[in-house]
This record gives sequence, structure tokens and C-alpha cells, in this order.
Amino acid sequence: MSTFASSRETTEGTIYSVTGGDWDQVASEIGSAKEERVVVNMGPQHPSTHGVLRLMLELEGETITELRCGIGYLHTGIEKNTEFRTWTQGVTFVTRMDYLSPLFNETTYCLGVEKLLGITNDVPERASVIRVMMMEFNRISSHMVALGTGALELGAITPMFFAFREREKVLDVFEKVSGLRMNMAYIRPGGVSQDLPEGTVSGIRELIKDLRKNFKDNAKLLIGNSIWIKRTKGVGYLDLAGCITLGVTGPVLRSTGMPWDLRKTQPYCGYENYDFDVITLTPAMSTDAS
Amino acid sequence: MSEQKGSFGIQGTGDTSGYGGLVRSSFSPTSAQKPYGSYFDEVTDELERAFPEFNDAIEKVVVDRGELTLHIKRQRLFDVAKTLRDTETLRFEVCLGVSGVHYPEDSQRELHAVYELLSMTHNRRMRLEVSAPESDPHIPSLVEVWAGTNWHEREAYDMFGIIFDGHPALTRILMPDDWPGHPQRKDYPLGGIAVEYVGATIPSPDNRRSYR
Amino acid sequence: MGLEEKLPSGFLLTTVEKLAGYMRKNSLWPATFGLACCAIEMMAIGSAGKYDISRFGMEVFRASPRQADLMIVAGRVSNKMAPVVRQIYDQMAAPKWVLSMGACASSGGMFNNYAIVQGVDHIIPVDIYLPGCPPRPEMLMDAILKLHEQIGNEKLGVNRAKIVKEVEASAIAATPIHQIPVFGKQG
Repeated sequence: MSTFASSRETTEGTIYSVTGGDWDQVASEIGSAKEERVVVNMGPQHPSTHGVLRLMLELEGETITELRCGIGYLHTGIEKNTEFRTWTQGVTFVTRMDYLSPLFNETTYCLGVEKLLGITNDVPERASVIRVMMMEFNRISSHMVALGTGALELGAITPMFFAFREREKVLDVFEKVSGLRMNMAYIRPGGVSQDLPEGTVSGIRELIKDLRKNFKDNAKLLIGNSIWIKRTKGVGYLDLAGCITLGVTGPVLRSTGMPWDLRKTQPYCGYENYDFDVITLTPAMSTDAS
Repeated sequence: MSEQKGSFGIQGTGDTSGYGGLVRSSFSPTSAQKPYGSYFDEVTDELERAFPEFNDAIEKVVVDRGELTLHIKRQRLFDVAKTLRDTETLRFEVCLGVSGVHYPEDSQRELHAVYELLSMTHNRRMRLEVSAPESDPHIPSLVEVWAGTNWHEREAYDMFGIIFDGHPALTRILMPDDWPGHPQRKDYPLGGIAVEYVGATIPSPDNRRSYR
Repeated sequence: MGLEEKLPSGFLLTTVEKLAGYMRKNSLWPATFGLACCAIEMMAIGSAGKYDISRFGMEVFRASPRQADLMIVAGRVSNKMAPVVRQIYDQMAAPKWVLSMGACASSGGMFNNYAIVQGVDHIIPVDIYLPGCPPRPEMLMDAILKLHEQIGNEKLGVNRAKIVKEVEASAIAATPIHQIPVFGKQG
């Protein structure tokens, strides 16, 4: 009826085409073959990808011995597009580069444009403060997605609902201030596109109280879960030397214990006036990075 | 220093934007004279001390808007990079990536590769810039100095056609493996299609008006 | 095998159509095909409290396309990803529907360039287009509900063959959009 797994010999070895429902046959055929290492293509579309990432795995039994990434499935040619736009229109393109943190992309771009124009000191202080506030909210929403989907990969489905619930609250703030939930193009060269509407600040103060309480619960949900801890502790070890030579910065670098935070070391947008801690953890594990 | 007339290079009719009278001169940074200011003098002095053939290797030192850029001859790039990374007083341990740039009018030096360096020990930043002609687009690879430049060099190859000698596996990374051409070069078209509306089509941005 | 091959005709067919449509639309399982920004809004509709789509029986995003009915193409399709889109679509079993979510999937969106396929309907047949950049979860829900209506009213068997012929004939005879006369003058 349906075609079972067919195999063909190539210069690279035997290639099995699997069509579904025939895993037993494939397994027995592989078992009888001399080589024990199997290369599996975990193609650009598979459940773990929120986005597209092609993984080519070399499996020995159930252990992955080697892994290669194939990327480029989302290459959009944004840089070339911006060659044909004005500097303000460039913001709308740049904002979609990392769509989980659009305001950060915009700020980076705008700071660069302002530096080129030489107007870094002319940006109003209120605009800088608004930028910082929106960026930090963006940090919250982006981390919520990271935690939620990270837990989802391991099978913990509930934290995802909780994380997205908090994210919705933050997105409501974005909508009130800039008009859009995502990809707002709110931060423009020279400042922000418009001032905060009435009632935003008091609304945000209420929200922060709410978020603080919920974050405690959400954190307990994950940290109190021994399965999640066991599955992430000791996994994905990247020490300081590895991070530095690969050019990795951000939470992964801070999880090695190195307190490198650009907001402290080379402050921008007035970050030197704010009082906050740089969070680091040792040793370097995927638990700590998350 | 080339002059550009008009906001988007319009000649004659067609431009209704009102920017047609604009004359812009494009900016090519000139070599800075000592003293450079802030920590740049320290960096260049230390580099000169650690790397004896300094004057031979460095083509230009540019200090612009509070940022230091060293233009380096491509044959010396590997040694300079290694010195920058290993010397105690310099310690530029992190390379934040390789960017390719294409200057079509800069003949014999069309393709540039720009390396952003960061020193976490000293909290400093600087930039290295190397150039290669389009006819011989080879630049030594820095994968052995900073492992993170592996994929960045693949991207520069894919987008600009800069061939990095010594790279372990220089293949296309963003475009499909059999894609012809190098998309981010200035002479590569944007490649869009005409957008269809009721009653008219609007051509894609690079065909609408000559944007320069 | 399957419903399509054993259909009656006439009045009985209408009843079967209504029943099949009702069954199919109320348990439509989407395939995970989130590519870019729209995928985040798709995740929001699946898992945020306000926009829950499990009230339609759709929260089970199937990982394998062979178990899915609906492919929501959420995000920009690059030229490198295009053959993969086609392969996933081919791997889905009939009956299948495609919802092209967002401006990039429907028409290439703001990225009119070398790297992006100008509309996923260049590669696969699309049943419903959803504009937006990205569309709000409520907009996605509206599109899904309209698709449900469409599925509920879908014709089967002889009726379907008739409609397919009619649609194809009208498409061949239609003026291209950019030549449609505007304001009474020939374009």
C-alpha cells in the first residue's frame, strides 16, 4: 500500500528515505548494517524551531555525536533594502531583524545614526528615558518568550501559558504607547516618534506591581520543577574562554561569571544614571544562561 | 570624495520630491594626526611597540566621532590581529564580527572587510579595516585568532565575494548553495518585482528612480 | 479509500457536504510553520489566555505535517526556504488548507527584493490571505473563522468538480488587475 522505507547506496553510504509508519523496518535495516552512526537531517521545519534552523545530526544510538547547523532560511536582504530608503524609513526595516526585541534593534540603529549626524547630545532627556523604559519592557517580553518556549521544548507546557500571559500585559503597554504590539518603529533617529499618552505612567506603575508578583510564581514553577532543573543543569557547557573566542556576549557570557554588561561598562541612553545589578552565575550551564 | 547631486540621484525630470537641488559630498575619512585623543594613543603606541613592522603594515589611522579605525594591509592582517589579541596591554579578546563593504568607485580597493574588536579587560573598542581589489578578492582568514569569525567570514564571502584564505570551510551561509552572484555588492540589483495595483503597476524600488 | 471516492450525488451529496464540512472545520489541526515575526503572534494566539484557539479545537499544533490539516504560513518565506515549504505542503494529507498569515507570506510584504518569495501563493495554493505586519491575534482568529465558514461550505465530489471548472474559466477570462480600467478610462 504505502511505500516503505527505501534505501539506496551512494558515495556517502546508504541513504534511507522514510515515509512514515515504517520505523521498525528502518531500524532493523540500520541495525543490520555495519556502520552504527546515522546522519539525521532535522530540517528547517520541526517542532523545536520557533523560526527556522536546520540541524544535521550524527547519531550513535540515541546520542548525538556531532551537530552542524544550516542557517540562512530567513535571510531577508534587509540591508540591501535600506539602501533605497531614507534614514527614518530604515527604522521600519531594522525593527524586524530580531522580531522578539524590536525596540533594541531600533535603538541601536538610531544611536548609530545620531552618532553619524553628531546629535547624540541633542536627543532630549525625556526621549532617552522613554527609550530606556521601552527597552526594558521589551527585555521582559523577550525573556518571557525565551523561558516559555524553552520550557515548551522540554515538555513543560504550563510555563508557556504563564509566560505569554505576562507578555500580553507588556504588549498592552506597547500598544498604548506606540500603537503596535510588535515591530513598532517607535524609536526614531533623534528621539521617539511621539510622547507617552496620558495615564501611561500610572498604568505602568500598577503593572509593575502585578508583574513582580507573577514573576515570583512563574519562577517557582520552573525552578521548583526538579525535572526541568535536571534536564538543564550540566547541559550546554560553554566556559569563559569558549564564550570569548566565539564572540558570545549577553546572558550566556554572564552565566560564566563574567559581569560584562554593556549598560554598565559602556553606558548609552543615560544608563549610567540607573541603579541595577549585573546578574551573573557560576558555573556556566544552560540553567544559568536561562 | 565624490559629489552627489540630488537626493536620490535624479537627473532631469521625474523627481517631484523637491530634493533635486541638494548637493552632497560623500565622506572619506582622512588619516588622523597624533595625538589622537582618549585611549587611542595608548593603543597605537602599544601596538607599535609590540609589532615592529607597524609602519609597514598600517596604511591609515582614522579617528572619527570618538572611534578608532586602523586600515591595515591585507598581507599583515593575521600578524596584527594576533598581536592585538595576545599583547597584555592591548588584549582585544573579542571580535564582534566581520562586515564586508563594497566601494565600487574606490578602484583597486573595492572590497573592504571590517573587524570590530572589543577589549573586555581594558574596556576599549577599535576597528580594523582591510581592503582588497575585486580582481583579487583574497583576505587572510582570522578564524585561528578569533573562532567566532568563522560564520562571519562565510557571510562576507556569500554577500560580497571576499575569499578568506585559510578558512576551514568557506561556503555560502545565507543564500542557497548554488546562488549566483554576491547580493550585497552595489552592482547587484535589489531584485524585487513590480507591484500590481488596480489600474497600474509600480516598479520595484531600484527601478523606480535612480537612487544613488 | 476516504470520503471523496465514495460520494453520492444530488440531495444526498449536499447532506454529506454539510456533515463533512462541519466535522472538518471544528477540529482543524494546524501544522507548526512559524517562520518569523508572525510566528510569535501565532504562538500568542495558541497560548496566551485572551486569544485561546483551543476553543476551536486548534491548540494542538502538530509537529508532523502528515497529521495536520491547516498550514498557517506565518512569516517571510525566503528563497532558501521555498522548497521546504513546498515539501511540507506536499507531505500534508488531503483535505488540507493554507492560511497565508501576514503581509510577507501573502505578497512579499515590505521586502520586495532578491531574497524573499513575493507571496507564498507562488509556491502553494492559498485558501485565505491575512494582511498585517504582524496581524493581531484577533485578526488571525477572524481569518481562521472565515476559513471555517469556507470549509463548512465546501463542495465535494461532482459539485466540487463543477465549481473548480467554473473558477478556472473565470480566472482565465479575467482582465489582469493592473489593466482594469480606472475612472472609466482604459488603463
